[in-house]
Amino acid sequence: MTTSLLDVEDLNVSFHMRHRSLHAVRGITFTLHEGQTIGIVGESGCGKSAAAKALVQLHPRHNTTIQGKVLYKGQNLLELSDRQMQRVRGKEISMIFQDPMSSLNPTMKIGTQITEGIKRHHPELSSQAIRQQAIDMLSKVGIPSPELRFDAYPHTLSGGMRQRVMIALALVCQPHLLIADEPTTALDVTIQAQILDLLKKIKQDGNMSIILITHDLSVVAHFCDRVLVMYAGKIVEDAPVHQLFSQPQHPYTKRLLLAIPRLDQAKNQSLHPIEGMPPNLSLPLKGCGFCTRCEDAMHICAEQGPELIHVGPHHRAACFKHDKRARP
Amino acid sequence: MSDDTILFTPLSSSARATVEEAEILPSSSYWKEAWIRLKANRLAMFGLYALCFLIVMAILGPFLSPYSYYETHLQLKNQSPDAQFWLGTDELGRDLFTRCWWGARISLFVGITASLVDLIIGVLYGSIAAFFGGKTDEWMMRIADVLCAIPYLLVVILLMVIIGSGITSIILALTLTGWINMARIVRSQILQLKQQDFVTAAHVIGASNRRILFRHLIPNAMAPIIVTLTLTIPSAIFAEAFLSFLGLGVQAPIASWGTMANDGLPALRYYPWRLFFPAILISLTMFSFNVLGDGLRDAFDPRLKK
Repeated sequence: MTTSLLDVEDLNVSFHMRHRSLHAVRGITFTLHEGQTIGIVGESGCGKSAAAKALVQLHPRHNTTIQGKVLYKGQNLLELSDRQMQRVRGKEISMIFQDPMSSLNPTMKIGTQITEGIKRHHPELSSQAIRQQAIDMLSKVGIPSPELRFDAYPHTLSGGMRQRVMIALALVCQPHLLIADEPTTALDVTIQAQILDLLKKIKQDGNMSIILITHDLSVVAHFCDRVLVMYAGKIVEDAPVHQLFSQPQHPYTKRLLLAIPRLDQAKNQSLHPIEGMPPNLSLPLKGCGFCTRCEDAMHICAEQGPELIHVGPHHRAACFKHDKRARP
Repeated sequence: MSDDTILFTPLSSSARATVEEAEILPSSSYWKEAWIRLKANRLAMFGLYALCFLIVMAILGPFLSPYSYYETHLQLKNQSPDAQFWLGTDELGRDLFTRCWWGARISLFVGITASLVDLIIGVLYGSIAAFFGGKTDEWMMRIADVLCAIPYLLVVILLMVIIGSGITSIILALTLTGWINMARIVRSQILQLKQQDFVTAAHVIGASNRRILFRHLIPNAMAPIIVTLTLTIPSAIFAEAFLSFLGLGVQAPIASWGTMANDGLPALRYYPWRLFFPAILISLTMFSFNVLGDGLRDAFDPRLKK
């Protein structure tokens, strides 16, 4: 748990459209240790997926600028060429997506799709060995009769099964880092739990770190070691999972936790949504992005963006409430 | 009684596995299902059979009669169809039956070759433009627009003047601008497809651009490509007939349906079969390709059909 696998330093992602630019990720910095699972939470459009895709450079080059550093095992991935990056993807870093219905190629047999990665990264293996490895992987992710499924087309499988195939596809070359972009959002709750347990099991078997992107806090509580809360393209809080749930420090995190419906709340009590909208990311942001929705907002919040500061030994938050000057 | 005692014993694990394996149906592919839907479409199947017939006759037809396409019988000119000349003769006494099937060879060859050239250039051009996007796409499609803006007949006539008329120059003339339609259709398809997660997934496992283009994107755009192809072939055949009719096509004594129709037109009032037979073959070919193309479109995308 001590060696760092991934160091992200001041990562910025902007998308350029014809008449405007969208600054989706605004300088995020974090470290992922070997074997650790980090959760990234935040509402839709806060830059979670944009940041994750930038780590493996999946954005089209012609309209995206990525700045900062992504140090993977000490190497800056943003400096690699397309061809070098292709060697990293799948073998070192892999990714699974939200919608299993669209993440498999409908015109290709499942087996062909899984072996594609092995063929690419281990061209020395015989086709028999490659086939065997793919079938082993399919049975590892819990596909019944993997030999028969090997020659099946994706449309013959259900959503949960396809997500399993997707996991097999992503993990068949034993990557050290898996980025899971809302892997359970499109699945129903029982399948959700199965898929998370499967990921947990595979993670324990191999030496793998996971970045889990989600907006489901219960998934985070169940699955992660550490949590990054993102808001308007920035990390607003970074804490070990227990501390985040027991002592949230940023007002946004507090409101997020308060917004979860509880079984023990009185029947006639209404839910607690966070009022207002997140700021428009195509405009420059002067103060703190949350200040219009924040109950504790101060004058400085509209003037100046807060920095991430330590509020505990492993706990950082970006809020002026924790500034020395704010304490009465 | 003994049957019941067996039936109500717990299921053994091996028996359970057999049940599970039996549940997996043999996977029928997209193409097989499309073929089943096509077979149910009678009009499209008529088109398919008619095309097979035309192709077989184009190959075998000239051997069925004792005459060759250039052999003249000046005493027997403008014969009506009879036992000796099955479809009659033209003004030089050439056998129309033989000439019709020779014309089929020329017309089908020109149509299919021109369409295949369109297919290759169009698919490559359109998919590369869409795949790389941005400036590349912008430039490539603007060049295509410029080519498309040149009047087609003018290009053909210029080509004929420069390299002379003949099959090669007809094919060249047809493909010079013909691929643009295919390129546009492929581009729009690829633009849609490349947004999909499975393409990102292919990027994620480290697949190369070439592999993503040829194994993931183009196969998924195959249905509209095939439909466009079956609709390009008749328009190419028709364009050939049209050019030959204007006298810009193949030169005598080689026959194509267009030249035969052109020859037959002045004699329409006295010897109507000289126009009738090539015209009916052109119509049959157009009709067959069009209904087959429509049928394929419905078979590939059943949602379109109401």
